[in-house]
Amino acid sequence: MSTEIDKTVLELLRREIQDEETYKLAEQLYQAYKQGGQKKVRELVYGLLKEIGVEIKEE
Amino acid sequence: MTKYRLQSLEIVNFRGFRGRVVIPFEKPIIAIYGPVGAGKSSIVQAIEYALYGRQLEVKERIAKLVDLINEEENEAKVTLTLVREDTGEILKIYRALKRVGDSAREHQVELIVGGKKVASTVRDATEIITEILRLDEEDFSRFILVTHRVLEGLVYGTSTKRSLTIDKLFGIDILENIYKSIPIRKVEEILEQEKNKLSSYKELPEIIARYGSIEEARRALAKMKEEIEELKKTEEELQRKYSKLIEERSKLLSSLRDLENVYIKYLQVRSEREKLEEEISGKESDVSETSIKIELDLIRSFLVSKLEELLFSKEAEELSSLNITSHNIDEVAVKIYDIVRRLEDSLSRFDEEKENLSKAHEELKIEAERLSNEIRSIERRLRELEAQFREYQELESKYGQPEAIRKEIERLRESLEKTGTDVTIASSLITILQAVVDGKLTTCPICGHELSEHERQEAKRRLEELKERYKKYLDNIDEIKRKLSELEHVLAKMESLKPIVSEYEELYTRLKMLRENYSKVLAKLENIDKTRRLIEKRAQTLRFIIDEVRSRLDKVDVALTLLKKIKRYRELIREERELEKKLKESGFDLSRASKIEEEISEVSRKLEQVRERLNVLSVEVSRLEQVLSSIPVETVEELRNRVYRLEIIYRRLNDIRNVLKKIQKDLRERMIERTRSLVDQYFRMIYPHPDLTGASIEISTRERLGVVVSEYVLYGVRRTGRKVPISRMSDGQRLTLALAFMLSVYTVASHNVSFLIMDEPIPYVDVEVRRAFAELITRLITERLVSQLVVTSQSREFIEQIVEEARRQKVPVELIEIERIDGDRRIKVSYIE
Repeated sequence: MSTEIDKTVLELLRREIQDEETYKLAEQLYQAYKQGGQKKVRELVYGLLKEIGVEIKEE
Repeated sequence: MTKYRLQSLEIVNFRGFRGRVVIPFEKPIIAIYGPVGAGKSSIVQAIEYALYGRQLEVKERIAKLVDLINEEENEAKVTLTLVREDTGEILKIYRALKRVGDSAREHQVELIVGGKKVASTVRDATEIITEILRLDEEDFSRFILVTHRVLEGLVYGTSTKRSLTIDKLFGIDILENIYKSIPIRKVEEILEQEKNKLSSYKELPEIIARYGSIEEARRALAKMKEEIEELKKTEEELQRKYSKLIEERSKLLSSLRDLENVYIKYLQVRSEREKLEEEISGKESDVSETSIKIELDLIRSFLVSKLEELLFSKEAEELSSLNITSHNIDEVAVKIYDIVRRLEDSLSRFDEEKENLSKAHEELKIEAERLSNEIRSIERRLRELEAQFREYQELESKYGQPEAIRKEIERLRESLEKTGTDVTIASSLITILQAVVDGKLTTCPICGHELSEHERQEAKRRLEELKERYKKYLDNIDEIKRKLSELEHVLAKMESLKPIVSEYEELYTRLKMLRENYSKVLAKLENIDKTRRLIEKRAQTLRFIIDEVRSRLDKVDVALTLLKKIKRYRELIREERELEKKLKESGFDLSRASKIEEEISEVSRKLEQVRERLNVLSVEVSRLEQVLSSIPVETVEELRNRVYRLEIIYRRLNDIRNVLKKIQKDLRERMIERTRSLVDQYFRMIYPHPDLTGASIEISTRERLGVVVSEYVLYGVRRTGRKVPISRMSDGQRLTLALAFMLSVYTVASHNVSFLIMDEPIPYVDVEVRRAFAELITRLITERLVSQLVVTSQSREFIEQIVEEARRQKVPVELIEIERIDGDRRIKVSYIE
């Protein structure tokens, strides 16, 4: 059932998000959560911020 | 059906169990009892570990894999045997876990299906089991292993918590988790900070324009800081001086003792006097009682003459009778004001009257217009009817009225009839006489005697006469007929004209009346116009008088006020001198006190100025510091670019969050579609009472801050069809509905497992609810919703209730009791058929 849900969610994300970059980010966030939960999601977002010169220190 | 159920579990050195322990799972219900820490949950964990090489606590990083090995041993082994229900084929999984330092490593795995080894690596074994059972690790922990956490979330949670629990059961909780994990607030905060920085940059051109250059601004900033330091010193100094003066004043006042009130009074008098002095300075010679009296007299005369003109005789008389002296100028002014107010009232009444007249004028104008239109219309119609009316009149004057004509016609007809008879008789006589004259008749037709010659001659003469008369008769008939025809024609004409004549006459009468009314209305209109003009003229005059008198009275009022102030000023000077004398006599240093008061006032003023300047400087310094501090770090372009990219990230994350909520709603609806009918079906099967006849689940949605938020609503259905939400149900009903729902998820998952494990499902409920739950889970077996049920509990009473209920419903039970003796666990298995 989990695999089926993963597939459905990714399909729905693809259908709902028209912007390619936003879709890619959504997919990355989904995979990040699957791999390491909230921590990985935050790391991914902070990584994006770092790329544009904003450093965040984890609390 | 390719469904597997548990057959046995063999554990060696697993968690609290030392050595080898074999647990058979032979009956439909396996009730495991043991006190806290006995190892009930270890049995459940061993099943989970055997299937997937991990278990929930390890997965959630609450425990480590090494914790599965008994503390005093270095190796744990687990062998789980399942049996396929339709063929009896055996599926055996063996895993061995070895301690390596602080961690553990799985060093041996075997998966045997139908006597054949099909996997010997960790990865292969887990993958093949998942495939055979069509159940992965997550699904196992979701709906095969029922814990009190899940049941409580469904039964007692808030609607939000319940929705999250259901999401978890459906496996779609990941959406909510990702939604919550995205650090949107942090990104928003950073964006705000960067935008603030950018707005500081935006102030830079203005700063350069003001100070010349950034360097100049820096220099100005340094100077301002110096000035702030200086001002702070001055402020301190002034504050000290101020405190000292206040202290000195207090001392001086304390020396006054009983005269303190006198001094306070003196200060008040002096302050009032100074204020008045300022107000009347240079104006003292402008005003006197005599000049006011003269002006009031002039106003009075003007007003009296005008009021008489306007026939306000009462007011004119009142004013004339006033005796104006230097002592009553106040009262006179008030009296004149009063009359002016009355005149203003009259003016208002005039206005009101004018307005009423205007309304009446307007109404009459409309009436006049209406009358005029009607008159014109009637006149037009009369002109149309005129010729026919005249024709009728001419006929009438010639022939008389129709009634008379009708009588004449009657008479002529009678005459015609009579003449006709005469003609007939005459004609017959002529025939007879002609026969006598012609000799065709020789005897008298009446008596029959022979006619003589004389008689024949007489007959001849009579025949001639008769012929003459006959001819006259005929002429007469022609004349009557002609006249008759003429009169009949005239009568017909007159009758056809009669309605027109009647209309003409009626209209003529109405026209006459309308013309009279029209004249009256015009007269009234003229009258109103005249009255309006008269009132307007009076109102204008009155307005002029009021304006004139008010303006002059206002000047008098100003003069009177000034006069009063001058009087009060003189009184205050006298009073001040008396108080001064009194204070001097008592030895009070009045000149020093006055000086102190002046100094206090001066120091306060300076302090205020210094603080005001300090405020202005502080604001500017803080602004300059903020703007100038970020200048060397990066260019405006770099910052603008970063804000732009941050905005994109923020917008994307926000969009993703909104989409996640939408997908959550969609998925919730899809999952519900799959389970709704099963929830109802299972609830009907396991709920034994008649008050609720079904159950269901639906989605309720609402919008919060532009995001669509959905929630599940579980409810029972009464016989009447009324819905009873789970929050309004009894504990027993809630548990039934929760179980029905869980079973529906268990079913739609379409896995190949026929057992259900309940690990301490209801630890915190009362006896009655436990009994109801025992009955409920036994019905899962009798209703064939599951083939095998493993239940663990630390409550002997609950386990006994399950056994009793199973016995009552004739379901075989296997009772496993775990005991701890000197740190070791012992298992006792008994069967109740």
